[in-house]
Amino acid sequence: MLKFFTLKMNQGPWGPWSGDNTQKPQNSNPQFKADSNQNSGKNNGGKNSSNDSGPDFFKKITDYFSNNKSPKKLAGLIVLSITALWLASGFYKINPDENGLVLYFGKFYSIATPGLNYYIPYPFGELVKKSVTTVNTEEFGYNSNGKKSDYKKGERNLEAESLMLTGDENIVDIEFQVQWQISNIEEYTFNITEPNLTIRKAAESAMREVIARTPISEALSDGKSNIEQTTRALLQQTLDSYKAGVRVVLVQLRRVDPPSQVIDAFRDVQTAKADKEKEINQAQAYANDIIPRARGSAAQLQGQAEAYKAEVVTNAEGEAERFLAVYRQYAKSKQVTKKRIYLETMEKIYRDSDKVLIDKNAAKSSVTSYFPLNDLNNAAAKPKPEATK
Amino acid sequence: MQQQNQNPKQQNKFMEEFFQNKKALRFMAISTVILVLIISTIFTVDQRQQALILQFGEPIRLIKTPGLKFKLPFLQNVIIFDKRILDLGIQEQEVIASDQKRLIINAYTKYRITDPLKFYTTVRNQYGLNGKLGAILDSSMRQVIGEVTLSELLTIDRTNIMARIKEILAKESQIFGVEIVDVRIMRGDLPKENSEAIFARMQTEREKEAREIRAKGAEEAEKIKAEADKQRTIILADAKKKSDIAKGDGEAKAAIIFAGSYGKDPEFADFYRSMRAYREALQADKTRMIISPDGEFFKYFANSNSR
Repeated sequence: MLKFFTLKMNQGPWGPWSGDNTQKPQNSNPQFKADSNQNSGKNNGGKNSSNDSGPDFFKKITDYFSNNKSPKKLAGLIVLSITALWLASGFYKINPDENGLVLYFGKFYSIATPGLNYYIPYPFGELVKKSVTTVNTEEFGYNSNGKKSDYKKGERNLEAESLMLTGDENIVDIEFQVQWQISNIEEYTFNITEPNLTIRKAAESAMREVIARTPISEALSDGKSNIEQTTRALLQQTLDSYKAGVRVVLVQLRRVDPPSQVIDAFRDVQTAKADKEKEINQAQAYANDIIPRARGSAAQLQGQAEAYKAEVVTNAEGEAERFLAVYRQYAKSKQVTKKRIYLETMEKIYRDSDKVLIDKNAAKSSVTSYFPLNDLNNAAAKPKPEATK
Repeated sequence: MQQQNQNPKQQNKFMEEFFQNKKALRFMAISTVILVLIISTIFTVDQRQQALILQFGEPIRLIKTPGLKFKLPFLQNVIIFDKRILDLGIQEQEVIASDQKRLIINAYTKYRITDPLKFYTTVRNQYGLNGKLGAILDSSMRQVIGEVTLSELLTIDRTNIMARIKEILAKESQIFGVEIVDVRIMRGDLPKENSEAIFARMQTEREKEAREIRAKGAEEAEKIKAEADKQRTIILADAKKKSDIAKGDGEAKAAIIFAGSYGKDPEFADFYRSMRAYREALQADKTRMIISPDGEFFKYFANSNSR
């Protein structure tokens, strides 16, 4: 705009001016611009300027008039160029991510069409342009930028904002965020005031309402997505009832914790759960250790028993066979065989053992006096010289 | 400075010339008057606004549609009101529920000016309304919450409670020419002293829970161990039983076998088995015998013709 203006000033009828003093027109530049914006509607060219401008400018006009260089032509040119500028300011462009509204005399006229367009500028028309793709974020209970930012000039009390009463009269510490965007620019512009504050208040109210009917255990564990969904629905419903033209994109719980005062106790519950698991695992390990071992022992016993059984039976069979073999011989000559077996047996027994022969008659007296049993035990270790046969 | 000294002279000269030019002077005067007239006659009402026209301070016309509007100059003036939904919040304050529990509550209401005439005559402007509407919101909130218990507030009932506050507020604020769009409770917390008590309770509850969990862990662990011990005992006993059965079985079989063979001549079997038993039982160097030399073995020991 300014560039355009300067360009115009350096050529054509403005030339003679700048011949006088090159700095002066530049000084009056901003003045001119302001004029064109403020009075563009009812511009009267030179007359108007002569009222508003400083003495320098006045001097030039005076010079001009006194030089008598066709004042009408100059005035006309001024009016023309200012009008052109004013009309040019009515061009507007709506980007694909934007929506716009055109109002004439304050009355809604049309939805601004995308692309390059034109409206009759101020004071007749007004253009409202808003991005409809921008996602705005409201933060509750925390500040992502770290600053103690505020809404409505009061410092936010983050603690008061984040502590909420649950349905079972416990308190949770919650941080959440709400993302929203403009869904209907007409409603957004014409129906609500202070959109950010409106959304903040409605969101906090909705979240607190949802938390107030949720037990703390649910809020702390698996109820989170449910809380988010319900809050989003409730917030959307509230904003729709205001016809706010706002779409709630997301309600997200960033953090749900017990209050800091009691968080240790809550952590201890988690530890206790782990402890419980540990105890059970240890017991399980014990069980896993002893039962297979017992089964092993059982198998061993079983094996031993089977072995014993086989042994006993086999031995029995062997003995039986042996007996039968002997018996067959015995059957041939009973008396002789029996006698022989007896003698062989006794022979072996007497030969191998340590023996004392005592006469029948001697035995009738007190035999025990000959045998201190303890000595006998000791003597048993040594072979006896008088052993016979 | 030099220029400024020079300028007034030139200016005066110009002005003299200018004012001497009657045509220009008249044109200027007329256009000024027309301009002032236009400005004081024409006004616009924005889409977001509504207007009330006062004549000597008395409301005579209500304008609810936006656009370019006209009025009589000087005699009438325009008051603009917002047509959008407006916000009014009340500070956190202590309210007593019907179960005597104290609560810190704040709320907000959304309203819209529907009747600027009533609005103007009763409260003049938003500031005037805020004081009065705030007081009504406060009292209606106290009234409704005074009828419910804290536990009711901590349920889905909150929606109904807010609806009831809205109802009362709407009824009582009719005279101001406003429509109550919504009333919502924001915070509903317990006072600080109560919060401390709650923290203490939460803490003890958690401690209780932790202890219980640990005890249950021990209980289950003991159960598992006992069950394992039981299993082991059963397995071993069972094995013992089976092994005894097997052994007995073996012995029985052996007995059958023996019976089968020894049964052919029980008397000889008796003799034979005894002989074997003597041999086994009286082993070398482990037995000391005190024998009197008689019996069958020693039949010939004393003389060769024993009989």
